Amino acid sequence: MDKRAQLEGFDVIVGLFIFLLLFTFVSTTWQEIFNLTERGRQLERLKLKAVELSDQLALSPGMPGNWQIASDYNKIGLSVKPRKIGLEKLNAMQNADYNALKTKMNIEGNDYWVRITMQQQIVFEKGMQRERSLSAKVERIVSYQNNPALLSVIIYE
Amino acid sequence: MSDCRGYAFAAESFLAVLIFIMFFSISTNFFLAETENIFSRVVMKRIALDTLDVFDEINNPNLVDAAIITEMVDSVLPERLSWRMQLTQQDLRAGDFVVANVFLVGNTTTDISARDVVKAKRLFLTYDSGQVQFYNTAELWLWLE
Repeated sequence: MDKRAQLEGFDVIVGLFIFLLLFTFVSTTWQEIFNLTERGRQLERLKLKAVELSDQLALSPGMPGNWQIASDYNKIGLSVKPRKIGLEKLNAMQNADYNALKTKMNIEGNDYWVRITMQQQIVFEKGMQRERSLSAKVERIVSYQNNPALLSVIIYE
Repeated sequence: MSDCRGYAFAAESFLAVLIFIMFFSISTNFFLAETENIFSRVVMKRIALDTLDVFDEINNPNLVDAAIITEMVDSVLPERLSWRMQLTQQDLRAGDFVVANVFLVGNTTTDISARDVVKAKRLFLTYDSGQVQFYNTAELWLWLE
């Protein structure tokens, strides 16, 4: 009788041990999956912002269209016609305040880095690069001073 | 006897949970990978449209020069992308559309039927002494290396 009771006690301990093992495994995996999907959602939002910003810079002249000489403006754009970068607009962006531009690009709360390269040479750069943070990069082909160039837009979380 | 059955039940439970977790993890990864793929296509489509627009904007007089087209596209496209362009020139001066020239440039050897390819198309005119010379159709295919 005593022997059977000891065996049942042993069963309970083994059962408990297996349960705890499974519970830890399942909860850890769930947490990892949750983090992965949450990170995926964050990345998705960033990518969407990067695409929208690249559209705004490469395709739109800004608002107003002559924002580079206006005293106040709502949003910036770099093109004089779609995909054709205007030098004056580029200079105005270069001289504008980094944080003020975030509002004009509708990315408050994010950091950004915009770069134009032509023949592997950097011809324009604005913003800051950050390491080890979630980021989304979008590249667009534009015309700069009648040459093809690559516009890169990176947005950081 | 009853102890053995207990262990067998625990092992089966463990195996069932393990299979469930594996299935769930794999399906989640597939979902995330698919989302990434959609984004890549959205961006690639934009790059393809950009390329043809810029090509039309700055390269009009040199449309028939395959070497210039290749150099131009290669100089700006991100390295991870491969491309192929077909340029068809049609002449209407005889009263009906006649295909005058067809150029195929870029990566013309890769079989793209099995690849995830985005395609952009643009129509534009080229002139000779102020008169329309050719009605051009440029088609660009882009895919990841």
